[in-house]
Amino acid sequence: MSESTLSRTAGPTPNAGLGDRLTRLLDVALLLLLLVVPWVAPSFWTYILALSLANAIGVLSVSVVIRYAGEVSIGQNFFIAVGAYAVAILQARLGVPFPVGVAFGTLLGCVMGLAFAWPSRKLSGVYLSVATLALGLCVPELLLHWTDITGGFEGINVKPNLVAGVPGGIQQFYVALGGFAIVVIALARFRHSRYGIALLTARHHAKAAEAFGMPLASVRLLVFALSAGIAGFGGSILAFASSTVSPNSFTFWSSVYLLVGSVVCLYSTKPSAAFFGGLFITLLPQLLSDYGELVEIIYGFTLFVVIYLFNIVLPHLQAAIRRKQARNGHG
Amino acid sequence: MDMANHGAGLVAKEIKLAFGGLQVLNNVSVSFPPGVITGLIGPNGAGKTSFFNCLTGLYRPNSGDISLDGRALKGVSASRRARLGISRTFQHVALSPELSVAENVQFGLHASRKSGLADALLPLPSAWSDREESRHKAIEALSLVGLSHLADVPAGGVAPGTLRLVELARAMVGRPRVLLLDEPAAGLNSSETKDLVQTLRQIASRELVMVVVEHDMDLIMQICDVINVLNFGTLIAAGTPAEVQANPLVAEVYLGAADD
Amino acid sequence: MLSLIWQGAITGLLYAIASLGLVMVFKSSHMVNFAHGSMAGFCAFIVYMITSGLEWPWLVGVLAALATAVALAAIAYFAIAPLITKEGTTATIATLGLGLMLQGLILSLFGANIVNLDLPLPSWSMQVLGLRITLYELVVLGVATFIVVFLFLLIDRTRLGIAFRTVSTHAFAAEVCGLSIRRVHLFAWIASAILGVIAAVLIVPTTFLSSTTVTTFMLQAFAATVIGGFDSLPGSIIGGILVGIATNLFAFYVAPEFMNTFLLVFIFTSLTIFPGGILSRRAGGRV
Ligand SMILES: Nc1ncnc2c1ncn2[C@@H]1O[C@H](COP(=O)(O)OP(=O)(O)OP(=O)(O)O)[C@@H](O)[C@H]1O
Ligand SMILES: [Mg+2]
Repeated sequence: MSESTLSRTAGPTPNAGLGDRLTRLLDVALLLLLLVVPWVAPSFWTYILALSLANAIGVLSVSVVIRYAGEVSIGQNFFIAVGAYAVAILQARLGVPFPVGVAFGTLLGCVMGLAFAWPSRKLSGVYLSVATLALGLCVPELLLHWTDITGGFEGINVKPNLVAGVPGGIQQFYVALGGFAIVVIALARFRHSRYGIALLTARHHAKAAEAFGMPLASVRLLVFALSAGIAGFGGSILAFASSTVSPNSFTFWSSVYLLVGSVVCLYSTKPSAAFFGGLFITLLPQLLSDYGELVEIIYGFTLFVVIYLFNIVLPHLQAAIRRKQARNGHG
Repeated sequence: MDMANHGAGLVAKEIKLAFGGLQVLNNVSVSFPPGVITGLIGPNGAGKTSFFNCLTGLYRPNSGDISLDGRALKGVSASRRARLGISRTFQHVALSPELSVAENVQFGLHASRKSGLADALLPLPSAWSDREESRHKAIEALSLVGLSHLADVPAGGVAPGTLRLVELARAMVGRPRVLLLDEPAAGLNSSETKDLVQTLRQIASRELVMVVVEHDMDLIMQICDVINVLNFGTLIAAGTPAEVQANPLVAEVYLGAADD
Repeated sequence: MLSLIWQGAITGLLYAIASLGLVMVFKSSHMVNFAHGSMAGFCAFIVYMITSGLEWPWLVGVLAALATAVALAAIAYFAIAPLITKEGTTATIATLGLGLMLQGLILSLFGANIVNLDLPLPSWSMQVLGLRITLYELVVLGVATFIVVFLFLLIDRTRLGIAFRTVSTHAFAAEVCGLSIRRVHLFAWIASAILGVIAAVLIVPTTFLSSTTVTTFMLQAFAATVIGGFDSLPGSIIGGILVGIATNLFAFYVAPEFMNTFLLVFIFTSLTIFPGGILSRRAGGRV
């Protein structure tokens, strides 16, 4: 086929390169900046940033479901609790070192994700969301039942004892940063892998994906294994970074907070965006610790504003600008 | 090589399909041998797309048998059929606007690629070579339809007519055994259609089963060796382009449709 | 056993009422309202504030709660309306934002305390075939029957109801015919909120009222909806009663503390047998 006819139909190719390079620069700058935090910032901020990084992993686990499956999960607290309690229980009860705990927590998260996805592999949107709601709501009652193992309401303390002699705060921060980096890099690779391609096709044309070898059931299993694995990993890191696990940190509402974090970073899996999402949901409760109820109102409001901004306001503005350009072009 | 080595191709026997009270396919029996470009024509709503959906396993016929080279496909899922080499394009472009054009084409290799989940997440050397290779094949397929220069453009920013050709590239990139094309020329202008004819002739081979559904009669008459005519889910005629053109029944169906 | 089933069915009627509200919204706007529980909870607190705080009569409290429900529904609908046409999950996520705001509002207005809210009913009961039936149960039965009959007459007979049915089955055709989709949506949202309040006010006496109870109670309503099918009003009623009986039996014979886990399993089991709900009519997707 001749190139000439096609370049005519194809139109101008958008200049995608510049924006991409800019965000990559931002990502690298952010990582470098974070690397020096424990040496320049007060320990309180080091702690907050460590928590933000751990929460950012949780945010990523929500974003993965939305971006790759187009579904909402409000049961991520389940998988995060799995990872967090795996680390805490293994360390406190059996003296297992942290890296083994993380590996186990991640794997267990994955398995739980598959166990959840299997019965829901054929469910469509609303049915799946309600199933995740039920999943999220059943966490506290499970944690509060086996008190001997889970420590009941008080939970379990997690000691930052990865490297002997290094202050706990510094260990916690670098573990969180390292964990975040691993997830972000893995997700960047995943996007261009054969599964990333398959999922993004399935999201728009499920039947086409099926006809080329990726049925809906596989999509579900894969997305939830991935998301729950990330959530389990994030939970393990969170347990280490916050030095404690308790049922209060893993209620259904914490899933909703993660969703808020995911919305404010526009479901992005890019490092700087995800970090911002994690920071947002970590910082606000700290700053407003005396006005707990305000946090929910602000979160709800922010979620609304961001959704409005990007679904209603910006498209309107773009259309207006295009109309104006068209008019100028003619006049 | 003789014909026997190429097998029997894709054979459908007495396919019946109904949605509620609507009989969409009524006892359709056709065979699509390899090395032959078969046309499947019929007025709107005749059941052509539905028939493709039965062949690819997206619809389950109420009765009838489909086999590929003698292997029965009953109970074989759409995804497994893809692995057996059945590939297709869609009447309504079914590409992902988020992916680049080359990535969309790479998805055509999904069923044959071996790299697993570890490769998807970890920087393993085996994954690099798999990715390189699949991208290379995708760009090759894109050059066949003359679109290699668009490889890295997001599909969302490409003109709809061009996307049909990307669909074609995706369908043939995996060197399928069976290629089902649902209205490949819809939305193309006349010079693009001419190019398409050339491309289709180029990819036709002695091993390939190719079926083309199309409303553009010039294209059908040009490239098809055999044409089947479907009307209201019933096969009303089959034969060479000349035979079909001369068939009064076919003329009636098409003139009747034109009268409405 | 029989009395467990009876009590379960009665509670199930309340789940059914709340579930009807979810289905009304889904049928008209094709989305899930995750703020349904928070809206109902907020209104239940209004009843509490007026009857226990101000010690005004019950009727005033209920009327105030209904008025609040209508107002909330209208606000919620107009906030969500522009998002309904957007891609997939956007509007559903936005309702979670609404839920968060309402939850925060409940906490800041009424605090995090657990309070009691009883119906002004004398404790009267009778025996029928060895089954003890309380006045409360009869009231629930009466209210539920009234609501179901009223709702079905409304949808079956009135112009608004016919418009609602048209919009829910053929949104595009309805628009072409000049039906005001917004009016129908608003009707569905307001009806939904009212159903939510009625269910909440009737369920609270059996437990207690706190910032989270009504939200949790809504899981039962969601389960009922999923089991009956999101697009089926009669399905809601069957789903609600099933959920009510099943949870009651489970709580008595197995373990009351695992209620949510049980519901998760129950949802999965039911959806495996009836994907899309017991009364769902699903057409295959076109290609
Ligand atoms: N999933 C489905 N559910 C219900 N009816 C369907 C479905 N798919 C196809 N049909 C019906 O089957 C009949 C045949 O449709 P089909 O798309 O196969 O026709 P076609 O020959 O491809 O027409 P066209 O030339 O317009 O593409 C039509 O009446 C259509 O409405
Ligand atoms: Mg068709």
